[in-house]
Amino acid sequence: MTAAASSPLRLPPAAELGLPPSAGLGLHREHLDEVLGRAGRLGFIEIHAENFMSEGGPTLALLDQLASQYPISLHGVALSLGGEEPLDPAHLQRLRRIIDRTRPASFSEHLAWASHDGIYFNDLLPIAYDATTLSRVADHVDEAQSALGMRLLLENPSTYVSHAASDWDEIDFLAEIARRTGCGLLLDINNAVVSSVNHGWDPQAYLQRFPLALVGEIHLAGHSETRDDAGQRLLIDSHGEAIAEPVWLHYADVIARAGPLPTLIERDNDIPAFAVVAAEVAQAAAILARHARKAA
Amino acid sequence: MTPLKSFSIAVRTPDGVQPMFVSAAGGRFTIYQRNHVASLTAALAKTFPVVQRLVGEPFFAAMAARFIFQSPPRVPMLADYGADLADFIAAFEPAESLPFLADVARLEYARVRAWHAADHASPPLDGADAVAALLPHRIVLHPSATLIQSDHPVLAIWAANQPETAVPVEDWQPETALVHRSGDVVLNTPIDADTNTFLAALLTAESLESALLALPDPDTAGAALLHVLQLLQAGALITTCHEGTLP
Repeated sequence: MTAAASSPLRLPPAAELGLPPSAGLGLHREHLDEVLGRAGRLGFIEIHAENFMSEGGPTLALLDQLASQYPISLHGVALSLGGEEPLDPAHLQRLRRIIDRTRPASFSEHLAWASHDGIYFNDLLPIAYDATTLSRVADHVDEAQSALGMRLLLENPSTYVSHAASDWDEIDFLAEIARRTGCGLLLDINNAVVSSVNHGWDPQAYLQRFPLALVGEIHLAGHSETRDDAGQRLLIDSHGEAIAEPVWLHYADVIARAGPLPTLIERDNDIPAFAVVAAEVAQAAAILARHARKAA
Repeated sequence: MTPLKSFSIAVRTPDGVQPMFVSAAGGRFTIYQRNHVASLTAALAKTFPVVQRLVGEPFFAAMAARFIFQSPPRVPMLADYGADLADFIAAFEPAESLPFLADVARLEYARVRAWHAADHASPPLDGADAVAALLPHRIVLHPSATLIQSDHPVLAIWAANQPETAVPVEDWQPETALVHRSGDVVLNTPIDADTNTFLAALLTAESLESALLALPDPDTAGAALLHVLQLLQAGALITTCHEGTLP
């Protein structure tokens, strides 16, 4: 147990937590002027934690400026919650420093592994959905929530292969971790579509079963489509294209059922002009507004 | 061998077979092998754009793939990745015809490191009293600063390969560069031969005073002191005057 993890768990009450139920944008350097100039109607900004782990200098100044202007969604990609090895205490400390500095409205990570044997893979790799892995991930989520002093949202992954050992359904697996740890879930609708197509699941059924009451944030992103060596349809979670029409349709359906939820537009590759992503933010905001009015 | 151990070896083995326990027809495991190399190659290209420009994208990608296999990231901050790329290049035979390439990589890595390094507020240096007060103290590099001694015109090569400028390298001379961050800007400062010699002595000396007294030619002390003061004022060097402010 790390020193950070042994400190008493003081999770803020749920009412004090969370992003606004509006549309936000994943930050990229290319859009910095518009974001800091509040050019778009952005409900919040999501930042990748690992891009802000500088010791000093302009990166930390930018972090402060963003936190003073927007609710912050802090999104980690490297904690390796699904890994076989203990969580890296140095990485937990680096995350804690950013959390203490920016007081983010939300912290999220992935149901995946990213490191093994001291090597960082820079990718979100698939885990087995079995009882052993479930206990391990739940322990890691417990440890992370203690060390970071806040509730975590766990994101459903996009995967291309599956482990033969898996004998749990992905949604049951996520829900059970949430039940054991008290964490929330981040529903990435693009990941749900990508994994469903790649594994022959029905995306509609997947989203119907997803426990929306646990969802603290939604991600929307683009994917690319190809065929694998056997000629089967294969979706790649590229984050380099516009959000696909089926993803928008599933999103509207989810919001109709759940009511407005914080929604992020994610674009990490082939970054287009700000106006292009701002249009996607506006499209999500319009869907949220429609259902906010209905709810009212 | 644990499942993730064999998975991780397979991801990092080009043309390797996929682990037995993974069900994936259609060659889908190769997506993970490709992602690993492609995403880290992109991270290296971001840190080393001039190296990439000098060798071209195909050569850079092939070199990066070898480097990634030999020297994968050990921490998840990609801005830190590539600390040993310069040494790798120096020993990489296909790049032998560009003997300056390793030093260009050193300069580019130093610039990224400078951007992310810790802050250190230096006291203002005004008046003779302030200068005299420096004499008993050690002088060290600012946390953002790296000194690069090259047998090649490393600064001129770097400047000649910026996207917005095309400056031919006119004078092919060895150059020493001091890279550091000043405010929101990373600066490359050329260091002349005399200052370089003095700086090397100064950075290992007990104090500024002892470094000045050890100069073989006392007549050069004035010029050397002036350069050191300029570098202190620019924030590339710091003193240990203020206890507890060093990282």
